[in-house]
Amino acid sequence: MEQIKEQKCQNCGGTMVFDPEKDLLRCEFCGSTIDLSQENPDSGGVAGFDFDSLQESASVPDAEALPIYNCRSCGAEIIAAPEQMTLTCPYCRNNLVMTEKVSGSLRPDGVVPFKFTADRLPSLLQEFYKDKILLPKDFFSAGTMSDITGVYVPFWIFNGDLKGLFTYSGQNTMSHREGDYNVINTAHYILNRDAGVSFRDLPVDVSGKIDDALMDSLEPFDLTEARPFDIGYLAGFAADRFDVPKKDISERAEKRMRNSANAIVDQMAGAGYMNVHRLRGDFSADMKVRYLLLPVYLFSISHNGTDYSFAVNGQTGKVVGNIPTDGKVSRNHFLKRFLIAGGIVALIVLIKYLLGW
Amino acid sequence: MKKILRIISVLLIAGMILASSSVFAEGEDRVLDPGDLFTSSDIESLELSLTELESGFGVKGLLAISTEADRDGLSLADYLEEEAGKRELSQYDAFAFGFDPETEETLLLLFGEAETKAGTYREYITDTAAQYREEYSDWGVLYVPIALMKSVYSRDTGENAGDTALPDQEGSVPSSDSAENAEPLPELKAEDGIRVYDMAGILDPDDITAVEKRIVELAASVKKDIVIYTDTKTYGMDISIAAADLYDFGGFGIGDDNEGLILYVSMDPLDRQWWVCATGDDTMSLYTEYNANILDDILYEDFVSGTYGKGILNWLDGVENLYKKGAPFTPSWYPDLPLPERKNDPSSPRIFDETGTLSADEIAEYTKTAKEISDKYGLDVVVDIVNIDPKFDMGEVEYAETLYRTGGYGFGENYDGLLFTVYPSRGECWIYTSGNGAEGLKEKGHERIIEHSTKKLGEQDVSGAVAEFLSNYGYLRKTGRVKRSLGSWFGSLLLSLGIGGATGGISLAGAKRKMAVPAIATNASAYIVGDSVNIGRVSDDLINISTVRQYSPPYRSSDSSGRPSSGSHHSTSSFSHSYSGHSGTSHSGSGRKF
Repeated sequence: MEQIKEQKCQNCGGTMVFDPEKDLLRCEFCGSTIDLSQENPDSGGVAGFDFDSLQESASVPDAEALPIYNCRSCGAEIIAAPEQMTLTCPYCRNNLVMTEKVSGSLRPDGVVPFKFTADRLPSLLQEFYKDKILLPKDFFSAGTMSDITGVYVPFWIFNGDLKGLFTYSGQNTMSHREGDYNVINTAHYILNRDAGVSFRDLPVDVSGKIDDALMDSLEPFDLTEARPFDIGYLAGFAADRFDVPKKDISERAEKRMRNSANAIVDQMAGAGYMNVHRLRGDFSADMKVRYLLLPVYLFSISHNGTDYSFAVNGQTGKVVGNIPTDGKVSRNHFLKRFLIAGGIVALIVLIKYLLGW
Repeated sequence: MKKILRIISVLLIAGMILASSSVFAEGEDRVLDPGDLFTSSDIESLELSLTELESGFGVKGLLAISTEADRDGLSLADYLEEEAGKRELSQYDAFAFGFDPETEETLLLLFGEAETKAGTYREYITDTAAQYREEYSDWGVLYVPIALMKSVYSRDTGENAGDTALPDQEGSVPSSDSAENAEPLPELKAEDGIRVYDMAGILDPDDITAVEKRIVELAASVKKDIVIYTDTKTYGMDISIAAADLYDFGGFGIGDDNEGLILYVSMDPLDRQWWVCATGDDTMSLYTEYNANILDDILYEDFVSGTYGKGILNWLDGVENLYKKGAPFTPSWYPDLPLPERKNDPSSPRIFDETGTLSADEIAEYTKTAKEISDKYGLDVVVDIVNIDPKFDMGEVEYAETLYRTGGYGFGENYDGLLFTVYPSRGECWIYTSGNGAEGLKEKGHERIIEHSTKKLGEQDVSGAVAEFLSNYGYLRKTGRVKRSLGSWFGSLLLSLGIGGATGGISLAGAKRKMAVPAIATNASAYIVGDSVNIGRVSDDLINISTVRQYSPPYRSSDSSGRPSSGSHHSTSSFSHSYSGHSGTSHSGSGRKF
């Protein structure tokens, strides 16, 4: 049996959940609240997340070794997935936190709490649909939002300092006239440059079961609102720990930084020269990483037998999702404008002709 | 050591001389004087001139002065050929000149390019050289070929021949026709009745007769005197002065102002040219620079090809037209000066076909249609199919305006009407309007009428072009617009489709952009720390410099002969608005070299 912790009201013993609207831990029965920002999170004297000492690959235990938890309220036995940090008892709806997954070297450095409840999702979705004029007409009204889940998604936040030495070729030309001839002199150069670029707070999601494209599209998060980690923030929400190999995530973060840094240095290194080409050189990266839990609402919409996944940034309200384009709507959109514009031009031509202009 | 170095340098110089391509060592063997008739300074000065000629123009010269005794009985020709053969002059651009002081025989041999350039002047050079013996002695006889060869080559390259005076000689070398030595101008007398003086012998008897006859006709019709004078020289004067003096002192001209023209043709082989001298107020006012150029163009074509009689006759036709109508060449309908008083003449043809393309039935039909439009809208409708002659050189607008004014067209005090001119050879049409002729003819209507008729001209259908004009103009006056061609409607349809398609496409693309689905981020530009970007210059090393030369001559306007052109079909003459000869009488004139 693994260790779990329940968020219980000290007043009445009821279940406590985190209320994003009030930014407080609130008892669902008596309404008493706890301000987590005033509390000192108990780390148990153990150092937190250490990226450098993390193993390169995460192990994925097989099903037979899945941990079993006992609900303290009703005693039910509950099996949790390896990456789950929280779960809700399916019998008594008690919110449970697996403490061993949020302590020691697995303890997150911080959490950005949810800023709004799931009740706001329909209005956010409506705002999202406003300019999506090629959607099927019945997509929003007939489709249903299902599997709405508020999840604290694990992210590694990268700070990187990139440095490198580069060599380019470049040219300068000068021309003048000699009689009937244009004389063009081209000077060829080798340009040696050293370059450095720093990046801060690049988030990369480290949950293997959530689509990376969805998570990347939810950026940016305002990490200045990150709070020191307290399991109280997890009450009422799902939360997963990281379960993706460290090497994959590091490479992904580094690649994004290199792409941006290379673009900058290629643009600026040859200033004052023409036909500049890189001959050799690359960046080396010095990375520092934090582990944060960032708020995301996940849900899907079913339309014509297909499920479309959506994600909402639990801090900013930004909505992203896979949406279908209706072919008929697209055709009508094009035809309508084609006929209106073409018709106006034809009318003008006709009027000019009739008036003899 | 010094001695050895001196010997080596002499040997080197000698080797260079021997290796040179010149058959003449420096200053030697260019002048042959077996009889020692010349002093050393005479020979030196001739050799210097020959050296200058070779260095300036690349032509080698050999001079020889010898009697039969000096030549051991050889003829001058054999002697000269032998000496030229010894020096292999036939391998070069060269000449050899020989003079026998006893017989006064002169001989000129030409080799290579010299034959091409100076061959036509051979007789002139040998005759002229002989003439200088009396005043400049035997030295002058040998010098003249050098001077004349220099003139020939200078003329060919356009360079200034420069000063031909030699050191240690008194005075300058006389030119062939200098004022100091010139013969006096011949005395012509108008009362003799002769008007063609062919001293140069360029006209055959039939030409002279035809020209004389033409001049008599011209004098009777326009009351102006014309004199034709040809010679091989200008008597030490500028040709314009010579022409003026011949005319003035010869008593030519008709009327108080001595109205008339003299054409002086100088056939000097080194400077062929002509000058036309105009006398009298009427003549001088008509003989403008523009008209002079046109008349000179006529002479130039025939003079260059050597058909002098034909050229003069054509020129006389232009002169007569100039006096009668104010321009050397005018359309057939152009009235004589003074222009008649402007009035509407119902008898003037409204369908005027200068080319004779339209049949009588077509002319009748179109005349009827034009009259219907005229009666209905109160303006004169005229069509002219132009027979353009390159010599007319009259712009389309000027042509139409002149025809309309002088043809008796237009209704009312504003001469209301329009003239449609068709140029079949050019495939062009023009519309000239007067008074209310422009009424209803907006820019678009004007453009479409021209477009329809031009299309017919493109199909070689002149009659169709006229029919289109009358039909479209009538329709325009009736409805306010001109029918558009099928091609024009099709173009508009394509435009509508294009704009519609572009609008629909752009809008759809914009809508699709908003439907973008989530994508994995590939860069981290939003996370760059603002002032952290640092690009440091370590070194910039120059590797090499490459050079490319592109031939790109600047645009030079020229006619087919390569001579710069003035932009029109006329070459340019020298022209003088006002000058005087020795009589003090004022003249104008123009001339050209050929």
